[in-house]
Amino acid sequence: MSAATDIQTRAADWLLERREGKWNEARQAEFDAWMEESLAHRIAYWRLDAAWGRSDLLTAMRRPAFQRRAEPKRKAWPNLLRAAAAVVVIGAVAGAVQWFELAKPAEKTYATAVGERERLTLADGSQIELNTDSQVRTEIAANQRKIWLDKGEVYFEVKHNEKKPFVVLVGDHRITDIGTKFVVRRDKNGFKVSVLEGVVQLDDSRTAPKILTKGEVAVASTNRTQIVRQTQQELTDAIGWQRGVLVFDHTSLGEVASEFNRYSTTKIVIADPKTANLTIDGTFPSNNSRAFMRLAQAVLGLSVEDRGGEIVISK
Amino acid sequence: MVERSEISRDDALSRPQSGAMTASELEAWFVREILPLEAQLVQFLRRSWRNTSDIPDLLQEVYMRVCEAAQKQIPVPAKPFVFAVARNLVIDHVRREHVVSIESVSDPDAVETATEDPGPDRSAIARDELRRLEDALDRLPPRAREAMVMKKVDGLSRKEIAQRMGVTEKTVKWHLNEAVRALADILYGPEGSA
Repeated sequence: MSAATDIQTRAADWLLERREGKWNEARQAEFDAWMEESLAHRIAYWRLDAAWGRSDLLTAMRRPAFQRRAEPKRKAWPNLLRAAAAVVVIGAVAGAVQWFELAKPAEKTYATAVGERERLTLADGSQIELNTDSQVRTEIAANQRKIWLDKGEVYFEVKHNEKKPFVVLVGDHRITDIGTKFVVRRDKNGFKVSVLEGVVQLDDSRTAPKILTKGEVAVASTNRTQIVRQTQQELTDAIGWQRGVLVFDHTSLGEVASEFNRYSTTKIVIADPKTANLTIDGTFPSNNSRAFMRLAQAVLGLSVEDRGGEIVISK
Repeated sequence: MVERSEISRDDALSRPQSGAMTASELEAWFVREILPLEAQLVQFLRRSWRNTSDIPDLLQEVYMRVCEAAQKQIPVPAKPFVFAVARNLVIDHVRREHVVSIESVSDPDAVETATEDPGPDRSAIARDELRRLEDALDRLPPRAREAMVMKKVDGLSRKEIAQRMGVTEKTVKWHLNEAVRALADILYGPEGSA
């Protein structure tokens, strides 16, 4: 191996390590020292960093060919969610006396801030994962399990127990689990239930209960509920947030912007309707809209202007 | 035998401008002005130097000399300066090794006068860039590509990639390392711009 190749190998190691989660001050100091050691080190690093940075654009473009190559054999709970723990537990913690708990189960509130994500195991062994800016209250009693979705989006992986129904309440709707994995997303217009596995029952106080099976998605607004069927790919894309990505498939820029805006306090504003109607495909990190911005700029030729706290995209 | 008299060392001192640069300015300048010349530079070095296994070292040395000079004064324009440095480097090596091939240091001017494209529109550049990136990805060694896609597209950790590829984390580290280096070679080297 040539001397230059040796240096490049070391530089590539640094580059990769710096982008892994375990980077710390001590390693930074070692890296600085290595860079300081020789101009050849710096040049090698700059060159690799430039190439790796250029490929960000590539990975923003989801193409079927990549998808096939990249398709991960997904497990139910990918272990890559290292979002800082930000769950606020407000609850009847004080003086939790046994008899009191039996009589009146403790209500607990879990919430995530904008940009955060958290998964938890409930007292009954069920697992839930809160997406950005979400809040649930739970009440796990001996005969019933209740979860109120106050806002946001939550994934449920329910430990089924016939004697102890698992009910998610969204406004005046009840979603009862019949052994399953599902996602509920609530926004100002209504909510959406997507069934990833098993069966759920959806009730409101007015109409007959509806049964939703795997692949079905119910979209409920104040006065109507519509049920559509989605493909496995669409379902997988919709829960991309669990692995920290947003997946768009012929999605309008307007919609893309509002998706990103759920995850950040810096809001993206699309200046005009014509621009908002442009559609894109792509997989982007949910916590970082830079790759998307680069795409808007480079591929769509749009102007991207950072006005401090607000990013304006226009023709 | 090379006609040394034809090659003037003064070429290397082409019209320097402005003052010293900070490290980050140097990096930005290097990435913007010098890296895009790599494809032509490698082609030049290959034509001028028989032993291709020496190319990475020669390239590194050109970059070193260019950046050392730029730390003092930025050469404007960069391109003739870079090729003058490359030419002088090859001459130095020829002298040092007393190995001279008839091709050595041949035709450097042909490289320097290589096409200056008229500026195509921005979106065309971007599409070209995407195509180049996709090609680059296709040319990576298969396992390196697989690891890179999992890393970049799926945002997986090294551990998860190892599980999915059924190899150790150390192997994943190597594949990723390979991917980083090969990507730079393909994006900046002559293979990528072909």
